[in-house]
Amino acid sequence: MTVGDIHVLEIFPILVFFISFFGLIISRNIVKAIVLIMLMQTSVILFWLGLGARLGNIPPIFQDATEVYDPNTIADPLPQALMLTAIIIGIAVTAINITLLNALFRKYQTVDWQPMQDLATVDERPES
Amino acid sequence: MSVQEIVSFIIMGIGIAFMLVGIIGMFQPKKDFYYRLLVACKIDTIGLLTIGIGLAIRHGFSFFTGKIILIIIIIMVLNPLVAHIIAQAAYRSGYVSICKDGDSFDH
Amino acid sequence: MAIALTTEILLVFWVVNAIWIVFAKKTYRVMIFFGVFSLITSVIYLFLGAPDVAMAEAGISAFATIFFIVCIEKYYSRGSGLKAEMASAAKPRNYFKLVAAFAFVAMLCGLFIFFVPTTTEYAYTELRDLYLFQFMRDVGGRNAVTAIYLGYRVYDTLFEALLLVTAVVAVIHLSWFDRTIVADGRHSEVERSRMTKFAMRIVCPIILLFGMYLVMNGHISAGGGFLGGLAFALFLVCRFMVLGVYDLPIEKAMKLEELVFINIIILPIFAIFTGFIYFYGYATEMFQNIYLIAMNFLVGLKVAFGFFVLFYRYIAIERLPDKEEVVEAFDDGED
Repeated sequence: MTVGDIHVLEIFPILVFFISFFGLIISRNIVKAIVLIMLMQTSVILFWLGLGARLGNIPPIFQDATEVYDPNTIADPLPQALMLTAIIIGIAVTAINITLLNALFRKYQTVDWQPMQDLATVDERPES
Repeated sequence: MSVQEIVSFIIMGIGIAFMLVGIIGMFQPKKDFYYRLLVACKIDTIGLLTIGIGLAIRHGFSFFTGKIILIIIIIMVLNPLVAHIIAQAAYRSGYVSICKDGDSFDH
Repeated sequence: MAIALTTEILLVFWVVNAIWIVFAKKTYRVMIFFGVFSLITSVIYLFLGAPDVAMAEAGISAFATIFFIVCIEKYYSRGSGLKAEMASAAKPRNYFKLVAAFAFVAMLCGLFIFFVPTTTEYAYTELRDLYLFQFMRDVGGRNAVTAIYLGYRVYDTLFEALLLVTAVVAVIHLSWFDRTIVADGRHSEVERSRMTKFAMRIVCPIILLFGMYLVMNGHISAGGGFLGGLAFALFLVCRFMVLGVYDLPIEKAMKLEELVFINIIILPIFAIFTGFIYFYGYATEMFQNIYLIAMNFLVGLKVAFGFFVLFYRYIAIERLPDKEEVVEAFDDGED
């Protein structure tokens, strides 16, 4: 499944990564920013899995120990194991992000970057 | 193609037809939230059940069929329950259904 | 061929979903699109021959959606968040900045696509062949993914468990544990209907059974500690949220999590130095299976307690204090 010389499973994750990056630049909402960080992580995971597997590959699980398989029809188990841990770490990071957002919301009563920044600069102004 | 496969394909086709009808019903104009929820829940449950039964017939008597039957039982319990919880949450948060002629339901 | 066509359609819809998320005005719509996005990702993982990752993605996205919706509900219910969102959506955009950002990102994307050599060949086939054809002798089991994260690269799993502990500790220290008022009864606030309670009484044991199935079969089929742990966490959450049973206080859950973490550190070291794994002549298949099942079970308990604590923090304890209380608390902190 290729377009010209380029692998489709590498093109689409790169596209989604940069769309999320663009969204991080232009969006003012912090909740959306956290979701977009999760999107970037998902696209990186799909890119890694696409490096070691092709569509329609069988999973690296052998029910019959004696049967000999062609290794090019089996998905690579190493990216899968690494990405399994990456997903769990990603949800932990997201949980911390949401907690930080809650703390910020309690202090400034907004979820927008710009008013929050204005309020923060007001807070830090030295008393004359 | 054996008789078993033909029967299973017909049943799975009926399930997909149910889901198609449900999707058309979901996008009916000028209908409110409860109407859409009713259509979505009923058609989803029936479609998934029918497709599951078709798969069970196709695979015959095996361990795989046992798993499918377990999934069917869980769907039968959980899918209407989810619709019930969503409708309850909508009602509690103050959503009032509006009939076609402008009356509002008084629950 | 059918799989390739399906995946192309799904990938296009995946990218469209990402664009919808970027340009959505309301945060609830962002959550709906995020759910669809995760579902499509999970299906693509399954087509790529990665059932473990697909199941992990599905479970994780459910948890993440609940976290986000609870978070949004908090600031929507106060009103000011909603007002700020509407104001920021109504504000006219600076189109010059928008076009400049788009040009910058498009330039970076083009650089990646055209100058990073993409190839249709497989990458790192030597390591893959080593893992695929020796894992049954070295580590045991039938699942190569489990063999890698419990055998060859077990220290990765240790550090992942450590990161989860760190995340739980960080969440508890950043949120407002001292300032919140927890009643002694500790029931879920929403009173569920009888129908829900009856159905959940049927479904809860099935969830627990499914988790045990995933953990016990983690080394011979898809599944394993992470997914079993998610199912255990769902069991605890369902009991608390729907049935109102709360017999595992948060302090006990944290203690248990740390205890399980110590066991996760001890068991692989013990196994490696006593020859359960890696010492080819001595490790019989039975000992290998015992090691794998025990390790999967410990990882599952770890993930279950970690996610239960996180979930409980978000849903049950963490309430918004009144405004005066906020000011007072921040004054305390700054001193």
